Amino acid sequence: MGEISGNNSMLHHLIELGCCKLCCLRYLGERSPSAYKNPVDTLKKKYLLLEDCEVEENPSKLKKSNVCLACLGLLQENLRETVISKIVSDVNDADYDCQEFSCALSMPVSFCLRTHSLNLYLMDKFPDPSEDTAEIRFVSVKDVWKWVAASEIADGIKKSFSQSNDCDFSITISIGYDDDEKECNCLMEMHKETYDVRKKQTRKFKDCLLSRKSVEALLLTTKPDHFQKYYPTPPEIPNNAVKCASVSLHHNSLYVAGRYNKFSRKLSQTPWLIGGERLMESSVQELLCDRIVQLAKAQDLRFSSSGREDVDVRMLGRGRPFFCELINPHRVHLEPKHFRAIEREILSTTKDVSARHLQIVSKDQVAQVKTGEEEKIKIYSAYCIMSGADATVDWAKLESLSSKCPIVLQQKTPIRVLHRRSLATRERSIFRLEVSKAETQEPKAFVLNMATQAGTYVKEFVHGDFGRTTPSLRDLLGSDVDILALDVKDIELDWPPEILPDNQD
Amino acid sequence: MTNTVEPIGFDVPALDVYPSFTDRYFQAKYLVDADTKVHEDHCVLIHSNRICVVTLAPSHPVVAFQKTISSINFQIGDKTNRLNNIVQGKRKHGAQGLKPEAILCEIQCEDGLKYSVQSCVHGKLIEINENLVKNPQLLVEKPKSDGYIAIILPHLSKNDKFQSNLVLEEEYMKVVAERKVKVENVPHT
Repeated sequence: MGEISGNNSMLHHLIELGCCKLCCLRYLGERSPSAYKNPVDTLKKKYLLLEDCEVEENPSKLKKSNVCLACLGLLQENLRETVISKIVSDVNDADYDCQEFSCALSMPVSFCLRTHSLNLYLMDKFPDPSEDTAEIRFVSVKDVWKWVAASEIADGIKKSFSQSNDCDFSITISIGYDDDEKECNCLMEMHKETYDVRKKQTRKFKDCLLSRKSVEALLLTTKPDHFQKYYPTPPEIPNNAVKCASVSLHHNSLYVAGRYNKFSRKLSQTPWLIGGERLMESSVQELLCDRIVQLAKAQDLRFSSSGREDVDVRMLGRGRPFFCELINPHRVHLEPKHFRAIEREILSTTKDVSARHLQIVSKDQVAQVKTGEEEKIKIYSAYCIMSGADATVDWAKLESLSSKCPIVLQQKTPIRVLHRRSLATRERSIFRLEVSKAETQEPKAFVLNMATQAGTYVKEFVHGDFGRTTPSLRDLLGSDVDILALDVKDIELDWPPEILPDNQD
Repeated sequence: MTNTVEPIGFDVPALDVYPSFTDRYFQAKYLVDADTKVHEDHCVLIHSNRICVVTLAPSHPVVAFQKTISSINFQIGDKTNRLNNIVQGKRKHGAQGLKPEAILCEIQCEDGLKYSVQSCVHGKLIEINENLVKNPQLLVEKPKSDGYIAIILPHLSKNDKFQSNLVLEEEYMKVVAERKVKVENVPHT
């Protein structure tokens, strides 16, 4: 009975200070979310609140129906409803199709001061027999806000509330407060030395002299009597309530992978812009991903692939593994039939690229494709020409090269990419090399089929790049040879998993 | 629905003589009578990515008379050795900076004559052709490919300046042709 009566006197004191019903329960240490559903009932039954002290029905005892000094109105019914309805309408307007949401509240900085002050005051006036800290004894505004608001938001947006940290969709509510700056000013005096230094460190503390984290850290080290010199305990009843400054919505990235072919020698892999001006009409990335981005209603995308081919190189065979990261997608329930439709659409609208095995992959699968990049083997066909005026193809010599494999090359960064890559000499291997006749009528031409280590510059292997790749085919043949066309025939990486035709509905 | 793939090489136009790798990727510009030394013409091969490869022009005495080079000296003054150039990163940090008049090397020929090679371009030295150290004669045999002297990353904002000291192939050919006429007109003494 002693605890209840102690609680009862604390309750009356909280009401007199100007706490709202929910904040009373918070400071009483009420931890059952359901107790907050009907706070008046809980207060009456569990904490023996007497009729004449009833906040709602008999406000005459209080100064007036004030803004709660503990939560700045956030938990009070009117404001709560306004904030929730803004969240609901913002989320519904954004039209996300995910099924779960998590939410986070970002409180004004002055709120830390207010909470600290009230904690100090109550801990002093109503000492806790169990000697818990204020943070353990009292329930935070954020927790209570979630208990009362989450189910209402969930109903309004037709998604379920998730407490888990790895929920993909998050709603961040930023709470604004008109008197924030005014109430924070005391910190400049309270910790004059610290802030005088920080004001000078303009680069480090630019725009954010007062961050919630830094203020919380400072308050931990502040002695109570020092704090009280600059900030009233208990805090004053606020003139204004907080308001909802912004609601920001974010869904974690969705990854769509596949393999692509490129049949054009005039198509770059990514949009080719110089000084904001387009050099090529389109790009592999755009032809493949524009539709995927539209389908997922994503905000942005990042295209990535295992290696890349030059503008004038075709990507044949099984195609090149790639993925695109869809940033902040509004649609995440993409089905195989959607992907098959995109693949067909690409085929029917362009002759330059095609896509297959499109599918959603996990972040872990994406990491897989990026590791082991060095070990991948690439298969090439090169159309080569003996470029000397009277040169002829020395078939016997060319055929003898097969037995010299693996050929280990020392390649200096080719001149053609030297403007954007660092200079280095890299060791690369040619594992297999076979020559075949070209299907053209050109007597000086032959086709070189090669299996090379990832990162081998094939064009430079053929012509030698002014002697900067050694040995080059030119060195091996002892006469000038040039490469006039190149195809990638395969990238020996089984990723992403193949989609079998059976599944292609 | 599959795309039909044309065999490799079908889109390559057939020619009697195929242009060299140098001709396909580089534009040649020339520095005529470098440092007012008559006939000491230099050649700058400008890649489509603007990287410059500096070498001797075909009309330079060393190349024109197929001289035998005894050595190429890359030590410039007491402090600078062009072979000690170290570059790091995409932006080629630590590179030796070059002005168009900067000396890249000195060619010592067996006939006793010595020729200085200028940078021709304002920029950063990316590399010196190290093969020239072992085999200086490459410069005479293949001036427009393996016998190149240096690769330079030009300073783009100073591009205008380096354009003005160099002439295009056509203009260069005209100068060389006029010289021949002059030589023929000089009375034998």
